[in-house]
Amino acid sequence: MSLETPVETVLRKRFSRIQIVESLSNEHEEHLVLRQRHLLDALDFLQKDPDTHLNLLVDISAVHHHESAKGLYANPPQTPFFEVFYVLRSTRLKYRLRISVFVSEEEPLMPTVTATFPNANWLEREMWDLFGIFIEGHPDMRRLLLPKDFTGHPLRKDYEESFQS
Amino acid sequence: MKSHFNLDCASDQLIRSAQEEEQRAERKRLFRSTRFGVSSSERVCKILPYATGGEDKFLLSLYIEGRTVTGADAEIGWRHQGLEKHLETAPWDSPADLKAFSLPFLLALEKLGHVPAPSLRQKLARLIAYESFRLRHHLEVIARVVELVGSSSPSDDLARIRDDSEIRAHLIGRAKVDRNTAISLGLTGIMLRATGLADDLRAEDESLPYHLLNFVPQTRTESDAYARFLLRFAEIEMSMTLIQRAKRLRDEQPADSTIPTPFIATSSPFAFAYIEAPEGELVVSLWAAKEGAMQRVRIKTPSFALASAIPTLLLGADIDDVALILASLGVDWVELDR
Repeated sequence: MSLETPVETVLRKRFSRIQIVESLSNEHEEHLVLRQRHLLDALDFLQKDPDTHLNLLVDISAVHHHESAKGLYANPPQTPFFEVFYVLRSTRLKYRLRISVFVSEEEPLMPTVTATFPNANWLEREMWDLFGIFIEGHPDMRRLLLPKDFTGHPLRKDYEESFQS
Repeated sequence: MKSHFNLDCASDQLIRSAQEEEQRAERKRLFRSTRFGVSSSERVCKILPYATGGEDKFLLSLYIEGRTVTGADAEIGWRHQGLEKHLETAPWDSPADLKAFSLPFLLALEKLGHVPAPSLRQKLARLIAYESFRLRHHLEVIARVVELVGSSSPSDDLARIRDDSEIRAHLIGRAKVDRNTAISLGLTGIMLRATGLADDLRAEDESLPYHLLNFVPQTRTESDAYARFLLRFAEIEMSMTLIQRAKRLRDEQPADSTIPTPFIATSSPFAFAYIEAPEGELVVSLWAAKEGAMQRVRIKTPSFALASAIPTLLLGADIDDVALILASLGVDWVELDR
């Protein structure tokens, strides 16, 4: 990674109100878990700040954790829950960052990040289509991959059960 | 929708800053994916891109005024294969026919299982295979463009095709996208390198030995369809050079008779791999489940970003240029519909 200090250090120093729930970094990628309420501010800061310069949104998707996520995280929420992740990359500083946010299964709701990263449009639609995570404020909340009259969200772990019932 | 979460979303704020308004306008300009009503002088034309087997994988409606495209609505067709879902239930040793995703999936799987890195000879063999795949992709895109233009250049003379004046006339100045717009649209690969940015993941790839082969990212600065077309020829030349160098280096390595370590179980709960695919960044992320299967497989392809950018790329284009612009983009429809 080209940065002298990890993103976590920059965030803690310059944007201290953002609470970092957990940090799981390795030699290939820095991975931060944030609170959902800090997500938009964090993404905006990370994109605009010259020391982080995470200007490219590579991916947004989700994982439906139906069994314990203790092997992945130190203090995960009680299962089942969704993990929504964002993969960012800096084209200038040549490094990448993964940000995860935990979302309740009972009310799967996330804010749109299209104001900061316009290419989040289709990625968020895909997440709604396959996981049923509704994106608040999204300009075009339609299914993307599946037909408009399709029932259910197939990448949910409980999809087969609900389909059969 | 009432939220039980304490979300400080920008949309909840009553007073918007001038910067937020500008961002909203920019977002609206970039993603005019839904139009409600057309003006009296516009007509709507449903077309499909020129792509072998692509007819029902992508749906495109154009709003046209006179001869100019004033808007476009793009939708992915309904040939979704459910590959990611399928990989959650497939056994480790026979996941699926992954085609273009095979190498990044393999790289991520090796990280997940902490499989020892293969020998240099094996890595070079992988590199040769992937560069051959890249070569073929670029040749297919060039062939589609040549076929559409109806160029009189002999089809086996790449240099003459590259310098063909008819192709140049049809592509120069078309579908121009500057660097910041390309990044906003999530475009990587040739789309970004045609804006002058030397962004090529092969330059920092740790899993394949590009650093031993004097790899140099190819760039141009004109940012239009013709620059991207020319870049394909430069990439073909680079790929052929890499293959030749890799073969020489591979032949210097001792013959490898070790049996690959079988993948038995995961050592890590999560791993990912990224690769510079022919059209840009391809990322495979894997989450392991306890019983040795895959809890989640995520494959993010460059064609996804390319397809979503098509409405923006066609804005202002002449109706005659639409098919050619689409053909020159090199969208892989199989990648799109995984």
